Amino acid sequence: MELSRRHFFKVCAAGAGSTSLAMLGFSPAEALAEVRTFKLAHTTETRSTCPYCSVSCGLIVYSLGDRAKNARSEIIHIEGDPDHPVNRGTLCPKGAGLLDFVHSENRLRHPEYRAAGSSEWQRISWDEAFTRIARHMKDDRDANFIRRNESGQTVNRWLTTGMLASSAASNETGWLTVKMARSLGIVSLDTQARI
Amino acid sequence: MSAPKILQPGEIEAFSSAIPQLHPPAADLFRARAGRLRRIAPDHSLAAYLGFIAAIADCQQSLLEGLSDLPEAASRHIERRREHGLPPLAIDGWPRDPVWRGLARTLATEVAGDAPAQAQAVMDRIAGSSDDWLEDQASALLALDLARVDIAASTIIGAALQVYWVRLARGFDPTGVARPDPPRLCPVCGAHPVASVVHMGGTDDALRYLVCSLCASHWYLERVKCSNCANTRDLGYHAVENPKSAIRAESCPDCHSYLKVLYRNLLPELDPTADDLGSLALDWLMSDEGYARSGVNLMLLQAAPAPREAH
Repeated sequence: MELSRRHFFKVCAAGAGSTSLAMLGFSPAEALAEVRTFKLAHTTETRSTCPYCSVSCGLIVYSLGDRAKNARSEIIHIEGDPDHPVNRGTLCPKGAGLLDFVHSENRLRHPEYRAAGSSEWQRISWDEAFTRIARHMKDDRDANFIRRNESGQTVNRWLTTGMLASSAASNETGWLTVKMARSLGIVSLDTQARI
Repeated sequence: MSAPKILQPGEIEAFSSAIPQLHPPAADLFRARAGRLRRIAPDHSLAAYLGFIAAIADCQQSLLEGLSDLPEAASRHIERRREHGLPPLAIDGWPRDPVWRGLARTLATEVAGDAPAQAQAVMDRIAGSSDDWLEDQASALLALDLARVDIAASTIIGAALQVYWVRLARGFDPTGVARPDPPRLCPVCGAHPVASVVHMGGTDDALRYLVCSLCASHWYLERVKCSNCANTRDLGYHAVENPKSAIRAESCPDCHSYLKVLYRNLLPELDPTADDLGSLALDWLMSDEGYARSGVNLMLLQAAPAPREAH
């Protein structure tokens, strides 16, 4: 037997008369009339990873639309990925509520900033946000960077800032995270790559 | 799109076990098929046809139950195929037991009363056919050489071959059967899938299995993966009218084929062969979109288009 052989079928309405159904004397006419009134609905299933914790459960995200360029797609359902070795389709209560998290009105949609002592959040641009983060990091590092320990050995430690990375990050993102953080001297780094 | 799963004490152990790779066909396979066909037939635009296939399935069930153990003549052949990672009960390469020809003739006689007048001649032809003709038709049908297949007779001949192969697959030890790679052909008999089914409950809850069109074995394939070319990117899911329908076509943008997915976790009574026939409208709509069908349903074949004449 040839394992690579492949047969495709054009089971099309136009050829309904040449089916075994019609040849045995059954009429496809009513079904053919009916199908003209039907529309095809398109959805997509996408694998993803739960963003909540380091367990990193696999997800299947269901969305409306076929990802065509101008079509609006909307997430309609999220469930545990049954094939994923970590969670085999199961989710914790937080993971099971992900759809509400995605569609939440309270969801953060852009960078916000709350000045020290203020109770008000104000919207800022991504450029402003990155500039502020860089400024704080630089100031803190300049003030607290430890170049040598007490016995004069070079250690290049920065102990006053820590970093928590995403549980949904891939190996490659984890590699970049470590390169970036360690090059600055950050010791307290959690990539959440525990499982 | 099932409701969130809430594990009860004792259930979590099931999910830490290995994924079952293969399920042999059920003992009451054809009875379940007949029952499902009769439930969907009354409001269906193909009611008479679905009723006829239900009558065939009833007859298949009684023939399956009447089949005694088949001779183990080919066991050495089976072992050799298994050793080499090939489907052990492959559809060709060894002689079929003549018992299947009796099944075909009995089926044609038994269901003749349920068939339309036009089909009587076909049933008579099968009931009185020669061994050579039946074997030739079986070989053409199993090879899907549709130009050689007598399409009108294919339903009964396919039904008889299903009974024979289900009997073989049920009397066969499935351990050590190789995982098919690519996953598009049955690891037990090498035939094409009819559709895929998302299971419900137990260790295979929400897992997807491809269902063999011939021996009805279920073999595991990850969700969101093209069963034809193993592509995992940008797969589309299409349904008639309702995007949350329990029957969807999984389409691949790379090879432009599709296979239906039946979500038993949404509708437990779905039957691969019965609901594939019941959702013919989905095939017609998918064909309009330019997708080719990769699933085979021996209960509904369409003649190969006549070769185009040269101009």
